[in-house]
Amino acid sequence: MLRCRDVADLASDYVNGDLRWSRRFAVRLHLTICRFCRRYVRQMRETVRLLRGLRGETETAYEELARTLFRSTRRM
Amino acid sequence: MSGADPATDEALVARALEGDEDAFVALVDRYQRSLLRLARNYVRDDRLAEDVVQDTWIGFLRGIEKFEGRAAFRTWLHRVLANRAKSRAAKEARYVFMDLLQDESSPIADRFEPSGFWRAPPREWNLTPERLLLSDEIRAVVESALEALPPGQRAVVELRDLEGLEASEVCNVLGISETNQRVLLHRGRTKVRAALAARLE
Repeated sequence: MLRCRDVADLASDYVNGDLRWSRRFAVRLHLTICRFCRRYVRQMRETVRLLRGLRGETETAYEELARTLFRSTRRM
Repeated sequence: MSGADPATDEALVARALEGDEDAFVALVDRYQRSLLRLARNYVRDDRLAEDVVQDTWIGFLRGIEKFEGRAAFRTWLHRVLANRAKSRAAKEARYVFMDLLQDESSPIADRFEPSGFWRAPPREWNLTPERLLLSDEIRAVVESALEALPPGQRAVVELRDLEGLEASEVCNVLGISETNQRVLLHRGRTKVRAALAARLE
């Protein structure tokens, strides 16, 4: 039987879907009886979602840099 | 990128190496930010990081490092960058070498009883959907938590969660084992969660 501490240590793999089925099953089982761990896993999932949300922010355009680089190597 | 189907990396690479400037611009646009982020995990100086990224692109264009299609282009590109950044970091006085596997206990160890039960259970977050999606406040918390991570953890979290690389790609880019990749990802995410909790509980 997994303890809360084990579940917290597996939470990142669990939200990735990276656990073997037996491990995954053990985590699920624990989550059915432990609301604190349910909360923790939910928050971990939220955290990953927020991290992924940082993905899109690009305001800098690199076009000029790219063209300069490209032309400088062509001239060699 | 507009249009229904953005060109694949590999198509852009082929065109760029044949002299198509726009294809090269598209590649730089796609990866510059991600390469800069990764470089900063090796060299803490922004100018130096920009330099290393620039050298990586020049190396690619001149064929100093050749992409031979054995791995996905993005994996190959990030690995070339990581190698360049590593050797650059070793030469510079101002470097922070990537301490990938610093010995450190679990970031939440103190929240458990010796029996393994919660000593300090997580509290509910005060988070409405609006606040979650839109708030600059939350974004800033996540960004500064990320910034505060040790370089190894930061590199793995950025590559996995921000850049969307697979676990195997991250191992390849950073030259670390699967186990280490998981540990670094776990520790990094755990600290970002803790930073959010500190704000939201």
